[in-house]
Amino acid sequence: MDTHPNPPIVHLPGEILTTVFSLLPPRSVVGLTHVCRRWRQLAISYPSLWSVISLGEPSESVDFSVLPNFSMALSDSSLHDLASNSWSPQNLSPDLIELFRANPGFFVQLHMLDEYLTRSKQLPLEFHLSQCLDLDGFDYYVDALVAHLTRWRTAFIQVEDNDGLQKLRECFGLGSGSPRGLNSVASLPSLETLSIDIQIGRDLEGRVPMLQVYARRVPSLTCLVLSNDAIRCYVNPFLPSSITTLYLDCILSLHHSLQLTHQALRSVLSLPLLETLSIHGTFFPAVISPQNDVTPITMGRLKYFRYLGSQAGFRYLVQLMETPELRFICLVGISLAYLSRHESFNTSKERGLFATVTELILFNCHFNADEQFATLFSWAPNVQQLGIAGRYTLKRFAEALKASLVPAPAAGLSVPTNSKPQIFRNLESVWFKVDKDFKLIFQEFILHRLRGGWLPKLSVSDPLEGDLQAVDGLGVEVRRWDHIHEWSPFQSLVIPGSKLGTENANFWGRINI
Amino acid sequence: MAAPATQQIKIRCNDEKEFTVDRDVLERSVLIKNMLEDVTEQQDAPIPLPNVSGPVMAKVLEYCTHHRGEPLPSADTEQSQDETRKRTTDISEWDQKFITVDQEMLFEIILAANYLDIKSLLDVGCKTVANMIKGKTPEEIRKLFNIVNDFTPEEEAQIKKENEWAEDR
Repeated sequence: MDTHPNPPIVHLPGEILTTVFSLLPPRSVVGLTHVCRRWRQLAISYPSLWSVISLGEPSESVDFSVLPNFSMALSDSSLHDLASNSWSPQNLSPDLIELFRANPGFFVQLHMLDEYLTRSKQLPLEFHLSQCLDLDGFDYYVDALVAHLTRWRTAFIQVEDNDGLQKLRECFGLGSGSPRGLNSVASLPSLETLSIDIQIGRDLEGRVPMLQVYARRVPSLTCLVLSNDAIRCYVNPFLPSSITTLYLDCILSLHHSLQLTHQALRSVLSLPLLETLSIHGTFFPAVISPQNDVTPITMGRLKYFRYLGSQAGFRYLVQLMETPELRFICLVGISLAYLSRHESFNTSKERGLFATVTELILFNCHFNADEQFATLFSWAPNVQQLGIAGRYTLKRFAEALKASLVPAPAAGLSVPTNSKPQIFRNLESVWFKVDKDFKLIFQEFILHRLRGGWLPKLSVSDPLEGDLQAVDGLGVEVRRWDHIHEWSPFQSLVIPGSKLGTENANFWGRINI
Repeated sequence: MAAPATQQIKIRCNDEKEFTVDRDVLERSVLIKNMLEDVTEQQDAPIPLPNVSGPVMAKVLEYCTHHRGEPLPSADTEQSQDETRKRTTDISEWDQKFITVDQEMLFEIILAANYLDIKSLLDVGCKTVANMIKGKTPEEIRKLFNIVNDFTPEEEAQIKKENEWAEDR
């Protein structure tokens, strides 16, 4: 093609071009400044393009913690590992690894960081800073960013050794006489989301650095994500009371046990504004002691609760929680086999927990018998949206559904009833994690629709087209969804205000009931 | 609801081409909507649109007809969208088909949407251009849009420096 003397794009006004630029992923930004003089000028003088900065590749654990809970893909083998307490990121299923690959960090080169900080003018900064790749650069990055502490709005920080930790300590003002640390700064007035991941492991034993987030320094902090060793460094009675969202993620195999003291746990549950609580990791058995104060704590604002861990941890937590406003529960990898009609366990606290819930996700949860599923549902009569993943959980659900649809032979009826089963009376949609079992369960659903007749409408949303070929010709509506946040009813656990790591692959198919 | 017979409005493009269109379709354009609200008396003279040509207007009207009746974005939603600024470039299936046009037409539509103040159409246009740019090198972008590399030698040197680092990785 000949070079157009006046190519059409030239007619686009600058404000439209910058709108286009702002739609591109952060990684494209530098490239835009290399196209021509006009683009370079436009991009450089558009601050918001430069306010999202990623330094170093987010490691699996960091991204894992910021992913919405429901996209965690635990394979059957990782379920086994969960049960045996040795689960680690290496055991993540291949599709989750794919997810990380599809959404890697971009890198701001060392020499470009100053350009970013200048070009973004005074805009609040969102950054991801990881020690893992550029070890030499880490100190430089930290120093450059600390010089702009007052602009921090979203900060994801990950350190992997004691040097990194020392640096982090300085920047949070707890080092001995750090000149540029927080000691010399009044506050971080803009900081809304802070994620700290410390992965040091055994070296940390014996000299736990008590990094602390002082409430008076972070008046706007609403979202705190603490991963691995950061949990024991930061969770203490000084947690800022402004926090509405708290993630405690402990996923390294070394420290799979969440090292929370009973007192620290109570301080978490007592956060007055807490709306979202996600705990990922089993408890140290030592925490569970008869001497502990187990008076329930009223969590008046808690709406979203996720727990991934052991049954013992779950039960311990539940006895401490009074949750009148709870709407959403996501349970991952927990054995609920202790639930039974026979009440050999006192399960009144569980009943209370589920009573108000309208959205429920069961992800690789164990049930020993189909009736346990029914029991759970009888405690959760208000569930409208149900998410299910994991082969065994799916099977139990399908069986419970089947059992509730076909009247017992004793009733002398062999004709299926047409009414919606009582235990699912408020159910509107069932979302399945799309995986190899999806087809199987889906066919169960088709079967039940035909048999029971109470599923008036079926619609399946499935981006993995191959999986749905099996249902071609069954009159089922198949739609493609590209952005999970736009359609999922479970979007509430996305870390607010964060643009890093929020793009997701799709795992869920849906059936409207 | 006994709605009055749909009012028909005449518009005239810069190439003298005229269209007679249902008022609610035209009101997708905030510019025209405001114009119509300002005029109290019935007017027979067509509304002149000196910045839009007939073929482009035909496309724009196709879009407005398809999306008639949908709520217009308010100033409020714009604000909150900016707040949660998502870098999403998803386009609905119909819009995608609609916007599959040559570059010249694409940019004309964007300009018309900007002038006529049809925010959703402007969004579709910008997202389309963003999707074209996504994942391309600067050289590929120049080629795509026939953009001339007009950097001074000094700027070239600077860019080369930035690139060297990038390729280092």
